[in-house]
Order: sequence, then structure tokens, then C-alpha cells
Amino acid sequence: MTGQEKRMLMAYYYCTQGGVNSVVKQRMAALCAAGWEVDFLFKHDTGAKQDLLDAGVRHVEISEKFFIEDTIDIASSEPYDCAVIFDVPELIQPMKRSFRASLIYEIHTSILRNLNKNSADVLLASDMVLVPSKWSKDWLLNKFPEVPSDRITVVPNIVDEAIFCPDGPRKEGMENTLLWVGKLAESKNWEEAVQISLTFLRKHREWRFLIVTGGGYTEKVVKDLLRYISDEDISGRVSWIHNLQLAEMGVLYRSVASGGGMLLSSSLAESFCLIIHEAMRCGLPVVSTNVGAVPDIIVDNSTGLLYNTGNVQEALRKLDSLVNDRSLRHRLVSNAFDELQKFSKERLCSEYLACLHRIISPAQPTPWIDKPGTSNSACSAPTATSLDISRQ
Amino acid sequence: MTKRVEKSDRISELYKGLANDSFSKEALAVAQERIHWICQRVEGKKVIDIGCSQGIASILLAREGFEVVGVDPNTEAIEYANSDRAKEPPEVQQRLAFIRADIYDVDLPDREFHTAIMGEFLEHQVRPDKAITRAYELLVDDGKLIITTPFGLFKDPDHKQTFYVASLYKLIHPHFVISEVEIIGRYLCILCKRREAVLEKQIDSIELALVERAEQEFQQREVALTKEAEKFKAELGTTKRERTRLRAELAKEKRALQEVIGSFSFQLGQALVRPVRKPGRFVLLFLYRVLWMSPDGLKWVILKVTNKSKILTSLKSFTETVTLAPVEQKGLHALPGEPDLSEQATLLSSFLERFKEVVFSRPACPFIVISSGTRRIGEANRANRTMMFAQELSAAKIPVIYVYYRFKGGREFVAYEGGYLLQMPNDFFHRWAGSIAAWDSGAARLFICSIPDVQAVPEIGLFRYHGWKIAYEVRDDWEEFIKAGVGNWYNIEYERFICRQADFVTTVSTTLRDKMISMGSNPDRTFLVPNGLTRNFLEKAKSSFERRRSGYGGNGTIGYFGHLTANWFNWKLVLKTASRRPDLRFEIIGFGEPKGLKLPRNVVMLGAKNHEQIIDIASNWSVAIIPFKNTKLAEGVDPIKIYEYLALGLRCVACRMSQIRDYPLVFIYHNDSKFKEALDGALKYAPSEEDWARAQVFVAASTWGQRVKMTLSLAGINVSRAEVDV
Repeated sequence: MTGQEKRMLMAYYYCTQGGVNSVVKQRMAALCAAGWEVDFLFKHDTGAKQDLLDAGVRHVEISEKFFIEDTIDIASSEPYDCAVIFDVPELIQPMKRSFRASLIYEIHTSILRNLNKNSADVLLASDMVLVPSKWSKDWLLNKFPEVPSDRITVVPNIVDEAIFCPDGPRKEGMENTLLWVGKLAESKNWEEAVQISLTFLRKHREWRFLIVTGGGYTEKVVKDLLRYISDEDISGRVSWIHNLQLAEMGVLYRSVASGGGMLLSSSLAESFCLIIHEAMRCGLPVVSTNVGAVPDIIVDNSTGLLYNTGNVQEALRKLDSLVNDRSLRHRLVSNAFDELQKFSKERLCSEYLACLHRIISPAQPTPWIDKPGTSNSACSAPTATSLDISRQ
Repeated sequence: MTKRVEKSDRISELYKGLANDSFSKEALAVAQERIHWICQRVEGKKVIDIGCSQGIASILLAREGFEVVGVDPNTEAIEYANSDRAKEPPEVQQRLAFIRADIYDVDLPDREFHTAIMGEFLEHQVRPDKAITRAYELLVDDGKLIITTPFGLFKDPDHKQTFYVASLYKLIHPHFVISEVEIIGRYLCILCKRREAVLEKQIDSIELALVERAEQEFQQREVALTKEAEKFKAELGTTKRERTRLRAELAKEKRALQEVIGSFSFQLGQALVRPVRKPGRFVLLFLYRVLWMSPDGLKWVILKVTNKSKILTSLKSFTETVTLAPVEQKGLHALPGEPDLSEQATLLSSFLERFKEVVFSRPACPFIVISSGTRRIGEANRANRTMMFAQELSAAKIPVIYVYYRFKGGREFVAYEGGYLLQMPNDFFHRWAGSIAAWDSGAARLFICSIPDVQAVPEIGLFRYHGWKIAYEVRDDWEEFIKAGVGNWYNIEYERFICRQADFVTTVSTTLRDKMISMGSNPDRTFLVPNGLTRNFLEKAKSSFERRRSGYGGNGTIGYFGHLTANWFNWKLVLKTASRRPDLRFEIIGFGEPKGLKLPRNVVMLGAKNHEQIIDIASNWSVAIIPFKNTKLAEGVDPIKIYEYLALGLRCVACRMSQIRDYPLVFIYHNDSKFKEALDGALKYAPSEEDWARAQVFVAASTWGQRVKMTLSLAGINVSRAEVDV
């Protein structure tokens, strides 16, 4: 179905690989198929512009100095049917004042400092608030009880199943690797991960620790990291890779998985934990902090292993159990694959489009089939179930 | 949770000048004047300081011999007061007591005190009349009450009262007779004396009523004006922000306009220069008027004209100076028409695509990335190791990406017009390193890290992950550089990490090799690969070499070419030696000399020269020198110029550099006092045929091509199979 073309403007601060942009890329095929033309405006370009263009975004613009003003100007001057703002609360109310069409506000951050920049007024100013997990929704409703529950919709993030899958190319030489992936930021609690990993390496002398980072980093963080790993006994078994391309991450996860390794996640909060989803899809077992939306996908001892933030000994015990017990490893990976079926790309794209349709054309029925068994569908509404199958 | 100490409770800190974070200098002066006013009016022996806060007035009075009791309900304030009390001499402490209590609850004897102080107290009371009554009870007959309170409206969340004269007068009058009124800053200061008996009837006076009415009216107006002022302040803030935004937009538009003008003016300048034969001052003045150049620029041009022998060159420089569009980046000048950063990103992306085709078109040929940390190739006649490596590689048809450093905000940019060398600024490289590292044509790939900065730390991991060999090239002692005040990007932890992680390490000197091993580099994978010289220079210098070999000893001139920074060039030594040896002539080629040098007549500065000019000038020298300061920095150096001196057949006198001590025709002086002796030794020395043969073999084996080949072979890259001729 294409029907009449519709135009969407998206706006977000950071044009990076991974994170929000990888989610958008996964939605693009469905959006294009549904007749959407998408333009994207960023404040900072850190190298993902071409990726988005390749994914089908029509225009990608960067506006470093006047991001807020330019977003409002562009939204007001072009005939967009909808604007989607990602994690820029200060843009919502100004947009609402001048933008006539539907305004969707997506909140993906899990960093408290950034979440607290929101307010009830901001949430109420948008036509819909989309979040990637129930945890995010509960947090917002708790913080802003005056916001009605139906204003916030959960649409889980979509993982690129072509990249993150159990079958695919892998690299040699990744045996016995403990992997940590994330940003060298406080919210990701990297220091705890390093502490756990170095203790683990001292005990398991044939293992190595691989840190894969993205985003920015400060000199202070680098110096701190290097001081941790300066021990000569360890430093030869620690590697750090920065800005690995997204397409390569699937290869990495599969390689570590087939080498008997695991992923350690030490975040202080996660609104969705995209990295964990990606790793699990590649058959890599995960040991993670029990925070945020992580329990949505990791059930302790079933689909992964959880530990309480700060409890280094507990984390080490969990890692040791994966080293010592192959059957545990197999069970976790197998159960994880089953659990991940709930997050299939097809289903989540469908949910997302249904949400869009609900906002853009609330009077019209959703023009595509709602899949059977989608009782958890975030956007299920009476109009969806009254879908006219005879149109097919 | 710790109670926040309110501003008004910091009176001691304010008085002592310790509260500059919250109070202005004016507030400090007013506070001190008020406290002094209070203290000067205290009489008798015993004093009660009601609402003493941090206790400054009490302490000052106790020092003066008064017996003082300070009372305040604020815990932090009394703690502060007591800590200040503890610092006083014992005799003062004995006269002073602080009590944390409400004045209405504290057990104090009535009619005991000669003076009561209420400094900034009454306005905090819900029932100020009770406070006045309490003071009356505590004072002896004829006792004094000293009150200070804000006069009129004062923004403080704890103030319950706003006093003007009439209201305060009415409050005090039944119990006290006012003897003095003063206004200090925004504070009303009143001295009054205790009545023998409390008046039962309140004062009834038409004058007081009038004043009271006037003060009520005044208060209302004061409130209204204060609100209006706050509103204007908020609007001003908004306007300022808007102005800042508009200014930024205007600056952006101006830059764009200047670029257009610059481009046009540059072409105009060029057109003007071409037909001019002997411009003279008349033309310069004419151009000045036409182009409205600043007086400073004109002065610069005239200096240039009088210094240069070729006026046409100066005029061309003049037009370029006048017409180049200035840009806001400090110290950088973008060429007219240089693309902005987003255009550069688009262009570089296309360059990368084309270059990738070159890489993939030669799968047998290695692919090299050099992260140099230095400037782009072709800039200002600079030629250092990484530039030489890149040029040798590309001349051998080995695809190489040369990553050059540009300052943040810099826009210098090199277009790619095909070929085997792609120059890329470091900021873009760091962004695209992930995709470049993933290029895999099946050929051997080598990442040469020549700068151990913070970006290199994770980048070598990225390239290794993609199967690249990693070489860390140590071309300088960076740790010593930073001690000399240059290169604050460096941190020893970065270098330590990199030298341990690299597949192999190459150093330009044995000193640096030993250093890297001490930092953890594998001794079996750490190699000496010194600097070198170009084949072109070697060829051109041959005639000079042969001439000297045949017996020509030069004309007695001592020469140097290279950088002239005082950070390492020992100017003091050279100039002192030159002064003492007027028989010798010293010729110095290069740039970067310090300003204000007092040169003896026998020292001639020749400025920057290209290779042909250097060879031409140096062919008459007798001896070449490398007079660096004898520091640890120099110890690790392998000066490129030594190979060029030797290629010219020059005897060389050099400071202590362990790398070159065994080189042919080199005379080392170990400290400055030995320089002259080494110089004389070199001047007298007549090289033997054995010396010449050794020098010839040495320089022939010291070309950049040889160094590149060695580095590639250390990386396991067999160039003979790669269809390249290095």
C-alpha cells in the first residue's frame, strides 16, 4: 500500500551510528513502503549521515548553531504531515506553537539528568509520546502523574535482523573474550565493568577483555582507563576498539559467541538495552546489571544472567558460571532466541506504523493487517481490530 | 540533610571578606561600617547581643573588654561563632559566651546588661514588640539598645517585617527614647535609651501619623517598582540572548560575503600584478587607495618592498595580503574559495570513494595509513619523516592515506586529484576511521601511528581488529617535548599503551629505542629505523660531495639549515662563538628564530630556502653545525639535516646526540664549552679516502626509500611481490 505520499520531519541532536539512528533505519523500509518521505535534521554530525541516506531518508541536514530555530523553521515552512522529535524536550513546546501537524515526541534516553529535563507540560504538548519500554513509560508516569497513561505509548526499538543474527560471518581469533560495548560515560558505568573484567582476567589467565566504544570520550576518561589496564600482567590481554561500524558489530558478537565468550553490561539505567538485544540475537550470552528495561528481555538464569549494580562479586560469580557450565550457556542462548521472537522487526514496524496512523489519521482504519497474536501490541486500538481484511 | 545557612547568617564571613561568592564589595563595606557603628555605641560593662548570628560584633566587643553574651537560635551560626571564639586569646574567651537559644527562652538575669544589641534581628520577628519588651527587661536602668534593621523593602524570604522610620519609632517609643538615628547603606541604625518606666499610652502625634501614611504609600510604590524592575531584567535577558543569536547569524553572513569578496579580489589582484613592470611607490599607493587596505597592512608591504630585491614578488605578496579574505580562525588563513566543513565532508567522502577504487584496483599492493600528527604535505616547504614516507610510498605506487593535523576549526584542505596519495585532515579521519579500517582488498595493510595522542589509543585497536598490522613510529621524544613546553596533547600513558599494543615499534634513535623498551615495548619487536634523505637531494648534492672529496674545503663559512626556534637551537652558544671568532662567517638558513636577536656582523640570516637554494649556498661551506641545546630532547633526536649535510660532503659539528655519534664526518661536543674546540677540530680535519668512502656508502643507504622498505619488511610486507619499486 502506498497511497498518498506523506512527509515526516525527524529531529535529534546526534547523527551517530547505533542508538536512535539505528532504530530509525530499521523503521525506514516500513515507512517508505507505507508512503512516507522522511527528512532528518541533526545538530551534530558524527558520521552516520550517509547511512541514513542509504536507508532511505530523503534529506539529512546538520544545523550546529541554530538547531532549534532551524527545526521550527523547516517544520513550519514545509508541508509535513508529522514531526518526530527524539529526546529534545526543549524543542517540543516551541514546535507546538508553530507546527500545525502532528507532533510525536520520542524519549529514548535513560540518563536521569536528561529525563528530568522533561515536564508534564512538554509531554502534554505533544500529540503522542513514544518510549521503547514499559520501564520508560512507568518512569514518566511516576514522575508526571498528571500525564494520562494513554498519552505514552510503548514501541520497542527494532534491531537490524540482517546484521544481528546467529548465522553470518565471523572472525577468527576471538576465543575466550569478555566483551563490553557502550559509551565511556557515567551512565554506562564503564569503570565497574573494567573492575569486574580485570578481576576476571586475573583469575582466568587465558581470557581477554575487549572494550568496544562509540560516541565521544574525554582525555580524562582515557587516562583513567589506561591507568586501570596498565598492569603489565593484564595489559596484553586488554584491547580497546572505538567506532566500529554497526555492520561489523554483528560479526563481532558472533565471533565472541563462537569463541565461548560473553557480553558484560554494567549500565546504571537502560530504556531499552539495544546492545543486549543485538548481542543476544547473535547467540552471545549476556551478564547484565538488573536495571531499567533489562528485565524485559533478561530473565535471570533463563535468558541471561543478572547482577545488582555495584555487586562486583555477584557479577564475577555469574561470569564464572558461564565459563564453567556449558549447558547453562546453551540454555541461556536458546531461551534468549525464543524470547526475542516478541521483538521481531516485522511486528514492531507494524506496531510503529499503527501508532503513526492513529495520530495522523485517527478517523481512518489502519490500512494493513494487524498480525494475529499481537495482544501485546502497543498500539492496538478498536480501529485496528476492525481492519477490513476484504481489502487484501 | 544539612540546613542551608542563609545569607544573613554569614555576617562574620562577610565582615572578614570571606563571602565574596555571595556578596559584593559594596555589601562588605556597608557591613563593616554598620558593625563598627554598633560597637562604637556600646556602653557599660555587660552586653547582650540578641540574634548574634556568627558573632562578629560580640567578638569585637569582647576584645575591647566588654563581657558579652551572644544569643541566637541558628545552630550553624552559633557553631561558627564558637569556632571563632576558640581562636581568641583566653582572656577574651572568658569574657564571651555564645548560647544557642531563643531570646525568649534563655535563662538570663533581668536588669543585668548595660547594652543590648539587635543587629538585623527585628525584621525576622513575627512579634517585634515582644523583642523590644524582652530587651527592656534585660537592660539596667539607663541601659542602651542599639538596633539596626533594613530600611524599607528588602528581599529576604525570612523577613516578616518591613520597617520605615515611623513604624520603628512607634515600636520602640513606649520602652525607649531614641537618641540617634543613622542610615548606613540600606540599613536604619538607631541608638536608644531605656525609659525608667514603660509608657502606657502610645504616642499620638499628627506628625507621626503623616509620616506613617507617607511611608505606607512609599512602600507600595517601592513594591511596584521592584516588580517592574524584575520584569525588565527578564526581558533584558531575553533580548540579550536574541541579540547574541542575531550577531552569530550576522557573523556567518559576513564570513560568506567575505569569501565571495576574497575570491573576487584575489583574481583582481592577480590581474593587476601581471601587466605591471616596475610598480614603484606610486602604484603601491594607488592600489592602497583602490583596495582600502589598513595602515598596518601598508606598513607591512613597504617593509617587504625595502627588504626584497624583487619588487614584483613583493607586489604580488602585497596583493595577496590585501585581498585574502580574513577568517575568524586564529592563525589560519583559508584560501579564497575554500569549502566550509560540511562541503569538505561531502568532498572527502567522494575522494574516499575514488581512492578506494585505487586501493581495490591493486590487490597485490599494500595499503598504508599514516597518522602523522603533523601538517599537510606541501605546506610551507616543510619536510619531515612522515611526509617523506608518504611521498616515497605514493611514488612507488603504494596507496597511502596521509592523515595530517589541523587545529580545531581549521579549514586547510587538500583536494584529491587521483593518484596514490590521499591527504586527509585528522578530524575527518577520526570520524571515518571505522569505514577505512574495514577496507579489505586482500592486500597487506599497515597502519603507521606516528603520533601517540589520545585518538591513537583506540584507533590502533580498531585497525588491528580489521586485520591491519600496527606500527608505532617514534620520531621524537614526546615526553621531553612537553617538558620543553610543546605538545600538551601528550600523556605518557598513551605512549606506553601504544608501544605495547603495536605489532612493532620503530624509533629514529637508539636512545628512543631504549626508552620504548623501558616503557614495555617488546625488545624483539622494537627496531631502529633512522631518518634519511630524499634520492632527489642525494642526486643534487653529489657534485658538492665529489668536489669536497677532491679536496675542496669550503670558504671557511660555518652553516646551518633548519628550524631556528630557541626551544632547542642554542642561539646563545652560536652568537657567543661568532663574536669570539670574527674570522669565521656563519650562515643560517631557516625560520622560527626568536625576535630581537642581536647578531654580530659575521652571522648572516638567509631566511627559508628550498632544496636547490640550500645546496647552492651550502656548497661553499666548510663545516655544518647542529647546535641544539644539550638536553634530553636533543639526546633522542635523529636530525634529518645530518643526512643532508653528509650528502653534501660537509664535516658536521653537532651537540650530543647518541644516534649520530658514530656517523662519518661528525664531531660531537658534549657540552657548550667544547663547541669551539669541536668547530676548530672540524675545520682543520682533512677527511681520508676511507672517510669519504664510508660517508658515500652511508648516505646511499640512508634514503627515505630504504627506510620505507625496511619498515614494510618489518611489517612482513614483501615489496618485491607487490609490483612496486620502493
